[in-house]
Amino acid sequence: MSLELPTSAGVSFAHAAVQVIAVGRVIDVLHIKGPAVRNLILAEDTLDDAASGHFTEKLVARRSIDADVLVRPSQVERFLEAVGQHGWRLSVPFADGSTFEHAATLVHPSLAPVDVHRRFPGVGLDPEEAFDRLWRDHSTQAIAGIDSWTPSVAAQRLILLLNAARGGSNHDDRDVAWNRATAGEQEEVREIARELRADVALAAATGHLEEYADRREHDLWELLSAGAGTPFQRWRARIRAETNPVKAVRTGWRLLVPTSHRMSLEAGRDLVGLDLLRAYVQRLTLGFGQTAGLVGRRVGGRITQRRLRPRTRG
Amino acid sequence: MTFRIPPRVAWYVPAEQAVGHLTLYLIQLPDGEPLVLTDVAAQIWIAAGVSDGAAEVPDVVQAVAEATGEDSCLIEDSVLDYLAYLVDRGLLLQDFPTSSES
Repeated sequence: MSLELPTSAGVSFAHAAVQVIAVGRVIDVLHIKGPAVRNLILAEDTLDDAASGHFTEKLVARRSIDADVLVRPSQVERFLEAVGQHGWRLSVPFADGSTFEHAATLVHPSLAPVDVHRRFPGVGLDPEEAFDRLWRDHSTQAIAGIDSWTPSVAAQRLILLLNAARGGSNHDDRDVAWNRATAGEQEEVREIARELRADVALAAATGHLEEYADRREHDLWELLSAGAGTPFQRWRARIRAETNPVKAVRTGWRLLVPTSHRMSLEAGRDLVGLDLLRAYVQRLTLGFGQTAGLVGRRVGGRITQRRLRPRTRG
Repeated sequence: MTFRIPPRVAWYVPAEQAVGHLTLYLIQLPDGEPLVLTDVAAQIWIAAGVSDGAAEVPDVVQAVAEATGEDSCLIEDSVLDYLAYLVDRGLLLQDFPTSSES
């Protein structure tokens, strides 16, 4: 029987395993969040003694249940194939993960799960170019004693903030990665956000979104950072945020018709057969009903109420 | 004779430890199963491995003796035996002095 590891050990070992595999296969990965976050970002001065003014630096503990890695997008398939040869299994494919389809989940019999990111929500730059930019000034940090590649400190702050922007307004990482940073450190984060075209999402995380009211991503990040909006409002904001019509149509369709796995996740139970069909019909009805209303207003005519049930004759 | 941690051995010491005890987790990557060393065993591995080639065997024995409150003469043989075991398991690398150093 395999030893049951504490979660923190399992997460650190998962990071370390990914690093060893990536090095062996010459695959570029960047370890993010969790134990990959530099102590410099986590350090907090605590006042020990008001009389003497003595401070002690302590680290804000991070609790992770999985290991997060960002893989060079052009090498994702090779990465999945490589880890698959070492006991890792794809538990949640990219299409079934978040609605951004940015991450997949790998599981292992002995170690913590790994969230494999191929891009990061909030980054508007092409994913491969974005990874190039992050890779350019990456460094190494020992995780479980294994030197592992990590983004620069500024990039790590940005990633934490982008994550916080999607998590709603009360996210601890805002304080850790921004509020306690110096003005110079904040400017470094803004600079890399501009390069990655993540400035709107960063503004959402740092409370400056109103400065980007004219940007197509504004509505989306306003809703995400506030944890607000109806499903239709979020759907509409996601479409509006896309950079081209083809992506917009694909995003719109995927959000209306997600995979069966995602439908089950949202329902909180496995949906199969007739239950799954009913769930799809309900979702499409809601979506098309509201879309019809939007179209109706746009053409300036009366909204046509669609009958969803056949007429009955008494 | 000094010791190093093999390049593919990951190790983790949890921040929270039971009072008076030490727990260390190890794993040989990419395909090994996680292992746990506790108390004296963990002390021996840490004293030898974390020094990264800087500690000779007597230094390791002395460090373990100080950590455990035991007499170094009394524990020396046991420490040497356990170091040999750890090397045999691939959890430590043993460096022998070159002819110019000996």
